[in-house]
Amino acid sequence: MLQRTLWSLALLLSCGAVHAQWDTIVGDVRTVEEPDVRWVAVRGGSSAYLVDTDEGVVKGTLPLSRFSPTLVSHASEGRIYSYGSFYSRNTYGERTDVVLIFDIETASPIGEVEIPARAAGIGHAGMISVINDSFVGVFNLTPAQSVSLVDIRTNAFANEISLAGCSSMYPIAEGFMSICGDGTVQYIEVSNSGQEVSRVRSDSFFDLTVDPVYDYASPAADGYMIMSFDGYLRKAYLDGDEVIVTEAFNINPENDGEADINGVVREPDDNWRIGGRQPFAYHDEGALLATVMHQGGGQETFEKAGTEIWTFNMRTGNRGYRLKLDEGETASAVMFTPDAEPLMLIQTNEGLRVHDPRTGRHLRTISSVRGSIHNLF
Amino acid sequence: MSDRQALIAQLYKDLDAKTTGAIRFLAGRTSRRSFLGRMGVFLAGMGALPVLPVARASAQTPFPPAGNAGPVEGVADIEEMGDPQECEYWRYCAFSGSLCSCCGGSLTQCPPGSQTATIAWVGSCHNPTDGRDYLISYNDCCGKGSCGSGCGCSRSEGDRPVYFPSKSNNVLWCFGSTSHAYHCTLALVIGHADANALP
Repeated sequence: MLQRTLWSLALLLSCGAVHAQWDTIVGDVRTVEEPDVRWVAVRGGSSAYLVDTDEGVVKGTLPLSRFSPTLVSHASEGRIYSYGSFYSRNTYGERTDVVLIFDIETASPIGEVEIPARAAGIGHAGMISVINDSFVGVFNLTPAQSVSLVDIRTNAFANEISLAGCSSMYPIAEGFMSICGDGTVQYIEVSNSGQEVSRVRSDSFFDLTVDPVYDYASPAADGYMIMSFDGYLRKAYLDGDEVIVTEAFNINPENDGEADINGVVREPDDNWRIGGRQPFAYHDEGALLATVMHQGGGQETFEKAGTEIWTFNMRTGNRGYRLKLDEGETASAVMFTPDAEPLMLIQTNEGLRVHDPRTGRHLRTISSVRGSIHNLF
Repeated sequence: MSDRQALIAQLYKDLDAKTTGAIRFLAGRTSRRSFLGRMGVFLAGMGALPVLPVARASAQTPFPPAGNAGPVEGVADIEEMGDPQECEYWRYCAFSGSLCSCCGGSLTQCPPGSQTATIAWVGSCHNPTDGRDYLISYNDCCGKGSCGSGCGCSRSEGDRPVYFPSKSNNVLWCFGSTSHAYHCTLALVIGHADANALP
């Protein structure tokens, strides 16, 4: 009996000893859990943050170079790609330009591929793309325009394709689309070895001197949405060998000055303009369009941060609501998560806001991250 | 002779009689010397007529001068006002970046130790002082880190996306420099915005 009591006491003490254990002096390293469609990467400065917008927390950080303006996710393969320049002495010395390969699970660089020192230092999604699931394309500006292709199957530089007069890469079909200064959208088909197979341009649909379009585009189910400085939205898509651009949808329809059913005349909003770094977002399945808006100014304000987000129902073509940000808060970017019931993400000077796009309701703000928003899926 | 002609003849006859009477009246009361003296004063007074408003408009230089002061062959000829350390300065109409005067440079010179990019974007700016438009070259100074806080200026008039690079300030314009670390931007006047329309 005494022996049994002593054994029980020893067992209890040993359990207590386990619970009383201190943290190890070297700590431990977590891995990133499986990301889902509501995760985004927010690139700011020389870092990119992996953010779960559902939970409202940062799950990991990618170390970029100080010349890494953008990134692209290839989440199905567990990879994120960026590019950057490195000098042997911080801002001077020998320069090396590389495509950076990150493993999402460990949030660590696992490889790099040297590319010609021509990459453009421009921070939006169209500057780097995954093309045909086989290549990472990097937009070059010297100021001659071209694209460097890196084969991500072999992790080797593959080819450079001229993109004279055009910018950005938006992957589609067997190649990518670009927006061109002659008022067209160009499609270049890329072969399995990274060679140009063909290129074709749409009819001209905008005048550079009258109402140019952003070189930023938002993906649609079968193409890309393109927005002009004056607020005209069009879709560019492929129809066989042709690039088609639709008629325009105006986000600032003429105010007819008529009173509503209660006799209230709506306040004119013709002096509101679209602006920002990622100035609009489109969600095909949800028929949603969101735009970052500011009051006053001319076309030169096309990158100006906004004080309101306008959200449209694209089944009816009508604006559902105007979301006014808090006093002193301005937005530079808007994005929808790609799931069927998306979240609306707004990057402001206060952090990353998460909203329900149907109601406009504010769900949470992740105040620790600022920068461009990139969906992982 | 008609009635009308007779009436006119009678008028002339009456006018002659009145004029002759007046001259006789004047001659009876003035000497020749005093007549000449008064006539001289009258003629001298006629010289004062150009100072009257109607005469002044055609005889003097307009004030302020109408239109431009003179031909502009270079930067030294430009009549300009404004503070180059303020973003509202006329040359910065298409500017976006940091003012080099904030960190040891000037409007036309990069800060010590930095490098001038040899390729630049351009803007057309209106100089309100002389009423003319000029072509401005915005050259980045590169090779160092940030110029400092409070030096930023972004007006971006006429700015265009990257597919039209010569008018795009969204680009890191450190071409021709050994490092593309951005430091600040110059604003150089390189010509008239419309050479055909200006002297």
